[in-house]
Amino acid sequence: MKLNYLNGMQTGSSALSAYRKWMDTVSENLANAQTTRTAAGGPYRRKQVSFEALAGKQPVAREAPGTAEPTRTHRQHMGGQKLAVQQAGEAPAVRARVTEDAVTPAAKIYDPSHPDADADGWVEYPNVNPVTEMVNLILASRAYEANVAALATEKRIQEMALAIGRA
Amino acid sequence: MIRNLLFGARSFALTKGGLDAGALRQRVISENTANAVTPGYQARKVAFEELIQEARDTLPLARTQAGHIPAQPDGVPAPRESTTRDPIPAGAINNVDLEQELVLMKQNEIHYNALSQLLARKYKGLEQAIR
Repeated sequence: MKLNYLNGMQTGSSALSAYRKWMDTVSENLANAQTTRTAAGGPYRRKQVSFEALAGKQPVAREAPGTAEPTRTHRQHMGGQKLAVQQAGEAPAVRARVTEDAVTPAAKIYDPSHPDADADGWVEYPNVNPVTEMVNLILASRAYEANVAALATEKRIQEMALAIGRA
Repeated sequence: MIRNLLFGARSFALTKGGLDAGALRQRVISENTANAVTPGYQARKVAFEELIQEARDTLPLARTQAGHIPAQPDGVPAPRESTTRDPIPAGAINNVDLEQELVLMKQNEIHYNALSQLLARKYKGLEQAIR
């Protein structure tokens, strides 16, 4: 059975970066929970993260860039061989995508003195619900922890395999 | 010939198979935990121990034509990866049970540790016999 020993680490690291991205997005949403003005105009719109499973896809072998044939400028030069280095492909397990939540409606609050109030005195606030964000934060950090454990176990298993030769 | 005599024992092949299965199982558990919140994801699992039993219960296959693929000579099956067909629980987005995966992971690690020490000791024993 062939199992590229680096792929396991790739799996773990893809998961860690996906959940890190989720936590970052939650922080961004909470930080901007009251932002009524953005560069794009209007209030801040909540960002959401969606996950896509990539598990089971075969890692792609790529040819190393710059595989030109060496030139011989002197007759004593040895014939160069074209190098075709097979790089280990990545084997990520999961990918996180950040998109804007355009479905949840923005909250409107009547406050005529607000600088961003419209002609009728209504201010549009971001569609961020702090309770949802906190629940997501707990989910994200729990999943992050589980994947840290998975990565640590993968590392220990590989060390055990190496220890067989050391005994 | 001597190679077969030294390392040909079935217990070596079984231990090696167990280590392979353990490494693959860890990989699959990693993938499951990585997809803990992926909607519609189907958890995966690795079968090995039950396959040994199955291989033991079935008679050796006869090769009646040259093109037939021989059954594994040592009778140790390769670990098999498959999708669990468990239904997705109501209200959940997939069938990954994070706690169960973590318990499996720990069990698998201990098992792998035991097997790797066993194999190391077998080699050590051989070495001493040669000396």
